[in-house]
Amino acid sequence: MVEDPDAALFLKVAQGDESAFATLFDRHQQSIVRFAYRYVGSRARAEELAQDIFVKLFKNAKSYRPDAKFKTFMFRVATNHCLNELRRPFQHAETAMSEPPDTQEAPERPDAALDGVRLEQAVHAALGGMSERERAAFCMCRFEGLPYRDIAEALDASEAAVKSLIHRATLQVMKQVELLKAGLQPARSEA
Amino acid sequence: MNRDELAANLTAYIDGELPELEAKRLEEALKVDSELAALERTMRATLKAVEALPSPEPSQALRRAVLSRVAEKSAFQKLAAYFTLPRLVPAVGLAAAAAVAVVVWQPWAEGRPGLDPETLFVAQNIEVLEDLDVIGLEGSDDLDIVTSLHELEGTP
Repeated sequence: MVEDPDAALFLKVAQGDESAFATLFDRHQQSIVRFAYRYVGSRARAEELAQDIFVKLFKNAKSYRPDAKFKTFMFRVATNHCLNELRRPFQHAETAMSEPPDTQEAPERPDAALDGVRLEQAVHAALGGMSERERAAFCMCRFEGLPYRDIAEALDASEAAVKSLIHRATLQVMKQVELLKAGLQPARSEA
Repeated sequence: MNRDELAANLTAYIDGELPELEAKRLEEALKVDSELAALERTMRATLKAVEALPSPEPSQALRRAVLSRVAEKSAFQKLAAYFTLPRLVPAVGLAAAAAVAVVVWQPWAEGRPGLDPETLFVAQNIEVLEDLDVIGLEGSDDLDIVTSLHELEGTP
């Protein structure tokens, strides 16, 4: 059994403990909203997805076995939910990612603001050009700091496959950033 | 290992996910291959900038919505758990018995012989008939006598 404080809490959730669920929610809501945001590029949609993901986690708490980390289980549920939602008619990933991203409020320095906004656009364009699994692996690695082994478990893939997915995704981001540096607009999603 | 194979390991190397032997081999190549070393620097800088991008803050509305939906689900699950098999079997048994009773009763009630009109008339007017009996009348003919009694009494 993995020593994981979240796993112990989640086992309480499986017995109907709502306060344990609230604690887990407070710990992980930012990760899930960020993951969903990077997946769909819209804050409002990301919050809708996050809401559904947490409710799914609660409903499926009894199916959790503590031989896997809670975080891995959570991202597995999150990835499947995002993939399924984006495959539904009129919610296709490319459609969502082809829209401009909701950028953050500008920092005080104007030059920094420009860099941040343009970098955000470049990353958004790169994410839109990735396959669904590349995007999921890249987001879990870059924004959530999950190790390759956990990403492999969340995606039901081998570590070698995850290494390849993350490398390809990283090259796409680099390509968009290079276009940005060269003064060209980031390419729109081609996937 | 050629440069493409080495470059394919760069991301995993930067992420600290490359096995020790392969990492050492790559480090040796980075010392002698300036193009590969430049790619590694660019990759590190890009990933550092990307990872530093701000992320959206979840709203308070999200917390309220999730906890409210979870409370609903929890209430439903508790209700569903209450109706477990040991509780459900007697309840279903009683319902089945009631259904059988209704099914058996209905044809019997429909097949029961109806009351004849005369009996029905007596039943509906039982109070009036009892009053007639009290004053010693036995039928409707006696009522005609009562009606014309004053004429009979007025006769000298």
